[in-house]
Amino acid sequence: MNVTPLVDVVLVLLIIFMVVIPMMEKSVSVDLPNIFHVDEEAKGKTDPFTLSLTKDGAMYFEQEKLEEPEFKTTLTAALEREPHRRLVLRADRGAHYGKVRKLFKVCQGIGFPGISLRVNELKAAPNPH
Amino acid sequence: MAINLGAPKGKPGRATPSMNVTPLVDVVLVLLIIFMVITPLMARQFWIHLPNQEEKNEPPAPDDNNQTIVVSVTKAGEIMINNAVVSEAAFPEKLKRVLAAKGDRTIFFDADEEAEFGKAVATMDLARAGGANTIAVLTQPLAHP
Repeated sequence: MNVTPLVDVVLVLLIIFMVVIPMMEKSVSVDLPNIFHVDEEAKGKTDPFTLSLTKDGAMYFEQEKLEEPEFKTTLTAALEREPHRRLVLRADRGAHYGKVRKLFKVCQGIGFPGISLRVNELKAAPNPH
Repeated sequence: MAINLGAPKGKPGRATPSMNVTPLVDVVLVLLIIFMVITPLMARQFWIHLPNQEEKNEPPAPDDNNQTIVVSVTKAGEIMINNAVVSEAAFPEKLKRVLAAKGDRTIFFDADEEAEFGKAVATMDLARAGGANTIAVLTQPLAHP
């Protein structure tokens, strides 16, 4: 029996599902900033809370859209529930910094020691020395 | 003897050449999907420090050179070290010298309300190229003169 076509089809299906499942999770699309010096590896293996900030200033915690007033309570509750998880911000590179700073301020008030920015890595260093 | 391009049939008695593109399409499809999977996974992280609120009453004095180093981005996208405008190309070198003079590799960062986040992150990136280990963001807007 020739199993090659069967394996082929199964492989393609597997890969299609691998693509589709993370896409269903991360529905908020943002253009991440591109930088050269990224952190080596994320500290701590637990997957962090994800905050998203789109270009037009809409905020999302994980997948849900958040309005500014409920933002602090949601984050405080999340930190109380799981105090060891970190926070990752996926902010659009075209977002206004004032909005981002406001977000930093809230996180600081809640007691996060820092925040990770989700970025894209560029390969060649601009200043190679 | 002319070559008959595009003609559906060759000479009678010769087999028409036909290419089986199915395996090619199959491989290309798989490659495409593999890259679609890998590209979002390439997103990396950049850790920045949020100073404790108690630390905040140690206010960074932007005009005082031996106190703290404050890197800021203006509305127009210019980079400033302690209120002195530095060109983007000269910034890492300049910061390296300022940091060496200070002996501590912590910088404070702020940007204008209207500045683009991408530009702000690019500046933090350059600051890291200039040797800043800890980047702390100021959560109070700086009073720009």
